[in-house]
Amino acid sequence: MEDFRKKDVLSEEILYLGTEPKKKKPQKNYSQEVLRKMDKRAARARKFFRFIKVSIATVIAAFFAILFLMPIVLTISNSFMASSEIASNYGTVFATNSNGGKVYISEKVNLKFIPDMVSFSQYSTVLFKSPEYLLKFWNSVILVGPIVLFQLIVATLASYGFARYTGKIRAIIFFSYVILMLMPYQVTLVPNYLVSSWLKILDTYWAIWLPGIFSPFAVFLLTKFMKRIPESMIEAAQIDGAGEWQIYRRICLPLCKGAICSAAILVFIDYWNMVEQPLILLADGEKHPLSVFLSKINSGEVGLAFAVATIYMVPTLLVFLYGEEYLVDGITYQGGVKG
Amino acid sequence: MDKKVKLSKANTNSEETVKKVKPPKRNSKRFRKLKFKSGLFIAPSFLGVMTFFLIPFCVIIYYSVLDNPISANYVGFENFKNVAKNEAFMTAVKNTATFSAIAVPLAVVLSLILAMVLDLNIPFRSQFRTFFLSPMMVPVASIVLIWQVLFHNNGAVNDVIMKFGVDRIDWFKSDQAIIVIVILFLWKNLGYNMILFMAALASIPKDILEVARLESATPLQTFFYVKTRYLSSTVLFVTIMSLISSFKIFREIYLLTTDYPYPTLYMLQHYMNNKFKKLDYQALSAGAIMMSIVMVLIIGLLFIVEERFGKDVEG
Amino acid sequence: MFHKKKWFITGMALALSLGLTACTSKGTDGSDVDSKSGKAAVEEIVPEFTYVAKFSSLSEDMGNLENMVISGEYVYAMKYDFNAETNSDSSSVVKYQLNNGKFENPEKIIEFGNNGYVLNFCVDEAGNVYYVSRISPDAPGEGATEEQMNAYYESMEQNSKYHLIKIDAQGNQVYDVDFTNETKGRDYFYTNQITADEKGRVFAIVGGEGIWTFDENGNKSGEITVSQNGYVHSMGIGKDKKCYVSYVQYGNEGATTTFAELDYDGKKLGKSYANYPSGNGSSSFTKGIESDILCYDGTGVYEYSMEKEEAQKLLSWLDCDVNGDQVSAVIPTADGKIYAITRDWNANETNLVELSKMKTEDVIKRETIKVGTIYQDSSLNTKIIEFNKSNDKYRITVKTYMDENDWSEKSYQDAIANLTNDILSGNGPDILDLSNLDVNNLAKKGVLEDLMPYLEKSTRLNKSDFFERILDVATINGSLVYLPSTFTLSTLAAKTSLVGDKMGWTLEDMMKLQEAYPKAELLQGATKDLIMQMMLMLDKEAFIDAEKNECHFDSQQFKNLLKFANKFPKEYDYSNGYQLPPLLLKDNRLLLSDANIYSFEEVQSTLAYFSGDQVTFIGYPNSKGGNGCIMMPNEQYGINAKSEHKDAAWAFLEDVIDSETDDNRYYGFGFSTMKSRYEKQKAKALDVKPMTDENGEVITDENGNPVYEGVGGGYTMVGDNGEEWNYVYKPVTEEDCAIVEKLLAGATVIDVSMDEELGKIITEEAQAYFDGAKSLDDVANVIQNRANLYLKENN
Repeated sequence: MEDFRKKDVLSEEILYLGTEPKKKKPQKNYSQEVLRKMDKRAARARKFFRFIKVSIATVIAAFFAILFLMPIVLTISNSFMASSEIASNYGTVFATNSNGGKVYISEKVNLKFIPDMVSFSQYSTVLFKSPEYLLKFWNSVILVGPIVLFQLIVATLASYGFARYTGKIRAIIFFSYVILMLMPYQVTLVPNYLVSSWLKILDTYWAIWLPGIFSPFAVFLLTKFMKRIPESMIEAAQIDGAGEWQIYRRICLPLCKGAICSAAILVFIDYWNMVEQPLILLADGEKHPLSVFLSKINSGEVGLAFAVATIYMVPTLLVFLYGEEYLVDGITYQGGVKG
Repeated sequence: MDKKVKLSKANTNSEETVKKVKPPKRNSKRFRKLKFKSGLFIAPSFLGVMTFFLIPFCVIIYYSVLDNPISANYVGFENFKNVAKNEAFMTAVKNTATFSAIAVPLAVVLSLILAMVLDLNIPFRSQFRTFFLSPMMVPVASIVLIWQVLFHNNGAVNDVIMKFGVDRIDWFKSDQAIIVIVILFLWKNLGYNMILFMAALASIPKDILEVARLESATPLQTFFYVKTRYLSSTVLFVTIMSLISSFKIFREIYLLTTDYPYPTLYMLQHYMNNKFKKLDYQALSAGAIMMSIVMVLIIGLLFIVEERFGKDVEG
Repeated sequence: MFHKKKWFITGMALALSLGLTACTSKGTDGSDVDSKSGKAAVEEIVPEFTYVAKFSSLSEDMGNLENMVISGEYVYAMKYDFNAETNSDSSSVVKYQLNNGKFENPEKIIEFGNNGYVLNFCVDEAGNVYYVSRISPDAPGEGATEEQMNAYYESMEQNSKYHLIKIDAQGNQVYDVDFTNETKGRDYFYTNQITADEKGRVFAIVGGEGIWTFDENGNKSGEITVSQNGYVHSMGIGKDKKCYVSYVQYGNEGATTTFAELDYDGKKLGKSYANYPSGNGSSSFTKGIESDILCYDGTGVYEYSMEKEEAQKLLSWLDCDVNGDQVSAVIPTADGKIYAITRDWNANETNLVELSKMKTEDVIKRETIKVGTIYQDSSLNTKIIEFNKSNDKYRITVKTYMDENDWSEKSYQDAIANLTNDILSGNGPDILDLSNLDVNNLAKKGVLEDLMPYLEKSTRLNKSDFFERILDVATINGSLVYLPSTFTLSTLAAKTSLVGDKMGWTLEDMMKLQEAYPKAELLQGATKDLIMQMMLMLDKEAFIDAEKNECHFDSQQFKNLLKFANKFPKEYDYSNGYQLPPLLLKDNRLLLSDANIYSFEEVQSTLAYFSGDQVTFIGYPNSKGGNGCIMMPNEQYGINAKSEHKDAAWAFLEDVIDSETDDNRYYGFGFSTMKSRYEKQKAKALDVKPMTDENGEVITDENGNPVYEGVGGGYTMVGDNGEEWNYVYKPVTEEDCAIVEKLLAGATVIDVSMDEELGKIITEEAQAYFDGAKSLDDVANVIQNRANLYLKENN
């Protein structure tokens, strides 16, 4: 990817040197030399302003970045605290009183960023002593993996179909996809339960996989990108004798890599955090994913909350890092000539 | 270097690089073949959506006209009337609408601004990008903990404002509660929106920008007349995504406040959740259908606006 | 850069997954590591085989068998007999032959008379019997003074002798070792269990400590310590003739059980085996026949393979109609059968259960009825087992919705959500245990079947026999939703001089009483939270107008309540020790006493606390003008309106209600809801005669009070500061019964759900006020807002 920025700066200079800017002060009759010097100073001034602009922007960005990062940093640093330290700092936040309501936090509670004493006890408990967490972790992976993979497959096919031909019916179907996508889970939970029990897949992973695989979310995301592929390229391929499937595989998929990655990341995050569906559709507690488990942290286990959260974040982080390049570079509009 | 190109409002056909071929005639055989084949591609998704989304939706419609999921007597529009009249429901609608009305535009605008800021070629750009995306990774439980500690009556934020002499506010139990949630929402979603906008900004064809510069347009004019066109479909996209996220924020609110929060935080989904617990499934369904109707209207509107406004750009 | 990053990430991901897989895999060595979580990977058998039970009761004289061990074709057991006539006891080990499900040819191997006890015994493969005995000095005879008796008891431990004795298969004693020296210095020495390996070395679990080892000659050779936070549960010999132990440890997740080999030479626990079914710390094991180990707990029997470190569930007690809580020993026999001994403490019956393995398809199937309950209820299980045993057409199964490993609020909410879902989708249970559910709501939705027609048609129960009040309370929206068989009452009592003689009062009255006696305690153990909860649970009408669907938590009245509750301590101050209520009541240092009336005698008890002053059962404050008494039905079972087995479900309910309410049965507790039986209970209570000895003279206890049959003479309460109060039992009078009837006539039932939700809101918000962080008005406003929201949502 060329960096147009640099080019612009250069061309700006060229432009300014070459053409007449609108609001220019009336010039006296300077010599060429003096003119050039004045312009150079002006250019430097503009560079200086640009520098200020960039610095301010950087500061703003940095400010926001720190704000955004804070919770993650907190989670990770707290995961290195000894369990007693955590309980004394945050115990009251998670405590419940006798009738199950929240306990009022009566002292000042502050977020601690730096542990008084770095200890790996949380990690050792989670990783070595209690295989439950890890079991749930694998449950999460087993649940989410197939959903991401197959939803993308189904969705790329569908969005190709939508992008290739737009008729009235298609538009209505697409529109309904969007609407169905927006339904909150409380609404669809009981019907999903019913459908699952009709299909006899209750209490198996299929009850979660199937609705996940066919979710219209990725279709929505990908159709937009598929539509951008110019007809010319497709025409060209057809002239070369490619069938629809070839076009799909050879042209659309590679071009949409970025979007696919982006969709994968979003779907992953969505389902990685899913809590209510496993709770209702999977009666067997052994099959529950980590997200359900994490949401049940009570005051007895606050100490482990952060380590578990960190471990929980790691796959997401990996997925992110892996896909980030694709994410940004690939979403960009590809000019037609580059086909 | 005198390019005599008029900077007109709807002028993109000067793009010589993109060859626009007229779509084939509607009745041609090739066309029908295309229709069929592309239909095949949609088939698996369509079947799945039918089974797992459409049929449940029909089930909901079915339930919404019963008096009660157990006795199953038909009552027509009774439920809709009752739910619409219900004060709690109206509160929920008002809150949800207010929240979305504040949060979604803010999300779009702020993320656009952030994208433009990052666009200025500041150092560490890609690192910033990663940082901004990071909130998406944090599990809900940790977020809830942190927000509680911050905004509790005895929490950190109150600490700070008390130093400025302002009375402390019990954030979650006051009319200002919505601010906390909006902040939470923005924190979570700005990152991704920003990336989308950055990509969109990067994809504006350079030639047009150059032309604008040549025409001595101020940055502001450039923005409003040129960039918006290219960004419009992204704006629609980001809006819908933010709308979806604004519903998902329910989970955090629920964990922060339990079933019956202070009325300013009481969302549609609280209503639905509670109705589910009480076996009032018919009210839940009626509410859901009314919500979908509103959704249809809003999104339909957005689609139309996008059609009109950005039509000439993308194609 | 891009590619390097990609590989880096892939590498990390692989490393992470490998690492995590390694951690998740099973098996650790050594005894210091905490055991794996108790939720072992137990495979549920896909029933190709089921176990079918045959019951036979063991004869009277076999009633006191304990610690059964099977060796070869013989069963050995410890027996303890008490002969009331001669006032003598005997402790022995008896050997039986197990033939076709019968214990035959008893042979006493060891017998001790008075003051000699067999504490424990075990049998090894060769038929050698080892046992630990304790011999105590003789008690002083008749006519001994109290001092002498006390001295005897106190010195008994010091003067007892402990022996380890081995007898071979022919009955000859091999050794008899006195190891009393080893036990010195303890208050009380006992062994829970002993076992011996093939070399004749003995291991003994010493109560409160670890495991002692004894060598081939019976001399103590060492001790094995087990971890701090737990205890050794049981020991035994495995199929490979080595000794094994299961010990329980308490950790964050509750009790976990580890199964390990006993290492005699190393004087430590040897290899431990993973995935042992822990039964939440209560499983016992015995040597298996086909499998290495057979373990059992309150839920079922499992086969455990040490080689594969896997457990397989063989059967569940409930499915075999056996009450798992009553199982005291399990013995597998070579013919593939499993015998279990069950002891019903209340009915004083011992049964031998013969479980034979049959092909599932051969077993006659009965129609299944499902009972849904939130928490596991052992009395319900008992009733179900009885029904299943006696009914050949129907079989009842139970589904417990609560996750027994997680007692948090969220877990409870999830259980309710699951139950709701089941009901909504038509998969609901046929019978619902309503005791933790929102009965009002379920009734309104038509979930519950109207039981009235069934009651009217019933041949065993008579509608007019039930108390009207009971039927009233259980009827919602015109249909009878549940039918309890017994009930208890709960109310408050105070001196008539303080509160007048009318039952029932309001919150204001109560507050005025406290103001009149500011230094006195209103209720023992009252804290801010308790008062708030009590008021809200019981008197919500004060603040909620049900008709207009409005609430008034911002009213002055509610604020007064908050202020009032604030006067109580946050937590009860037990630093002064437990003070005796009767003494406090007398001095007006305590104003109210709670009265939980589950039998007629309780009325007496409550009255007695007031040491003769006139008492009024003033009740919990309420604004409806009622008498403030709460009625708590003991069973609340409803039938699902969508059930397909309603008649069968009703048959079960009839069984439950119709069962004779005997004082001995712990689950038939309380007053009967049927007038005929209530009268019988009343008659029985009134008809108590003092015990007389052979000469017809009244027996008195140490205080000179007559001893009444089945009850005793009285008791003495001793407070932490040494004060005493004597309770003298007086027989029940007609007035007492009248009080019960009066209370019942005006009693109400607690509305579970509304109170729960509102209670949560109010206590949560009130805490801010109690802690002084927010003002009264602020808090009242917030409560008003939230409660209002709740009401509006549910109009």
